[in-house]
Amino acid sequence: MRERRVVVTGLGLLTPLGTGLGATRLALAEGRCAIAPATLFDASPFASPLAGEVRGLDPRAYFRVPKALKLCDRRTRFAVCAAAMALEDAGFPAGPCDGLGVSIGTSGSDLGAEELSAALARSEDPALSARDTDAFGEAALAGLNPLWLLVHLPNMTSAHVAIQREARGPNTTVMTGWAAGLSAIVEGAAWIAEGRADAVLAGGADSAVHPFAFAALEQKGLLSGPSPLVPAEGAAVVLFEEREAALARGARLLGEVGAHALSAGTRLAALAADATPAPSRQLERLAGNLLAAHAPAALVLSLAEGLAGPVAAVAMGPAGEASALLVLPPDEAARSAA
Amino acid sequence: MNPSPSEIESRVLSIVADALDQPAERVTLDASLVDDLGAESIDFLDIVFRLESDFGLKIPEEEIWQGSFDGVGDDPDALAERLAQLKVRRPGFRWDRVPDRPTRSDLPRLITVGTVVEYLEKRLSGGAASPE
Repeated sequence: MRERRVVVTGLGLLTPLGTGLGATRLALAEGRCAIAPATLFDASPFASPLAGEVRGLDPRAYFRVPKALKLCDRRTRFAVCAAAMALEDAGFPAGPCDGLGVSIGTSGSDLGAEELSAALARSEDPALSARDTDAFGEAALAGLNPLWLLVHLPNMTSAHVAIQREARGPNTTVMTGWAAGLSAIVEGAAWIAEGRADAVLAGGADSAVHPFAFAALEQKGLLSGPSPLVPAEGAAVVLFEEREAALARGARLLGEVGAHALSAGTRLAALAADATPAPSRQLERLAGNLLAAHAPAALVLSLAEGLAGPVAAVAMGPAGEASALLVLPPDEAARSAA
Repeated sequence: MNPSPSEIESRVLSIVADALDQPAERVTLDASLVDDLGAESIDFLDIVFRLESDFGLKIPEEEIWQGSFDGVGDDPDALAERLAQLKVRRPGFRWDRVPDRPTRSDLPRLITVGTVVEYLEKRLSGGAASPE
């Protein structure tokens, strides 16, 4: 059987620089900076209070069932919005779709830090509840809305994208740290190549603008030093389709999936050396680091520019997690196949 | 001091509208939470938690149903008999929304915004949740 080829037909992007690909590209072109002291929580106790926050987003415009918003944290809202943008960008038919999968990567939840603290504060002995797991379980969890768990279950990001877009194909949320978004993209492309799905919404969605992420980054020493990391948030989603199906429906091809690597090593190094790096640094300088969504965002920006040659997106995290994906211009891929 | 009936009503209307993401004008006293306002099972958990937090009380499931449905199982005759008893005690439920051969999953469809208000009024006035 001939290998099924995987093409990119739609792009969705949401960053601190703007809602949508156009808004983000414009801000990048103008060199506008979205980094400022965090407003989502009090970050003043940390080594640096700077953050890249998504502002002015109206998620209702992207939710088919707005009641689900109460079950969606920031990164899940971002994922739903970016996925909707990618489908619209691709002109993909609306409505339920059995062959449409969802593979989004994220580095983790904020665990409803505010809600947890409030529940702790309401318990009879907050100090005891904060250090004793039994007391925490009995006193603090009793004061939490039962929906809390549903918001923070790890698989919820891709689940909500599927629910809102009626995507009934395979579904997974990848959580491999900063490499999660790009790894999820590689996974989504593999589903199409293997015939498990005909189209896949794949990407990264993350929010590092919360106390747990700041604490973790500070512990690693990443919030201080000569070039401190600025925790940011956002989502980037591509729509992958099987090439023949995409051509048959008259879709515009933005790129074709090439080789990938899912860990650091010579293969990843070779991929990265072979191709123009995606515009990740400019994004980080103006918007901050989107963690699991950063490499996907850089990839989306490259694809939006139009590929003059192969482009490699590379994600590497502080725990050694890494992934890389090569994307070829669609006609170059056609030539190499001929 | 216990909240007045009109205060209970306005707090319930606001909690239900918020939990179900419905505009205020759709949340009327005779609206069925399921059929008219789109509530699903997890929304009942949410609404009960919000009511319990807001009014400072616990709402046991058996109280809503005037006793437990445990043991009734899926036997349609046993369920019909139990529902006939419940109908006498909960005249405000949306009995018109229940199909001829109801199953247990139809039960939440009975509950209206008004029956929630009525239940809380009785609980908060210190009386039993409803006359036995």
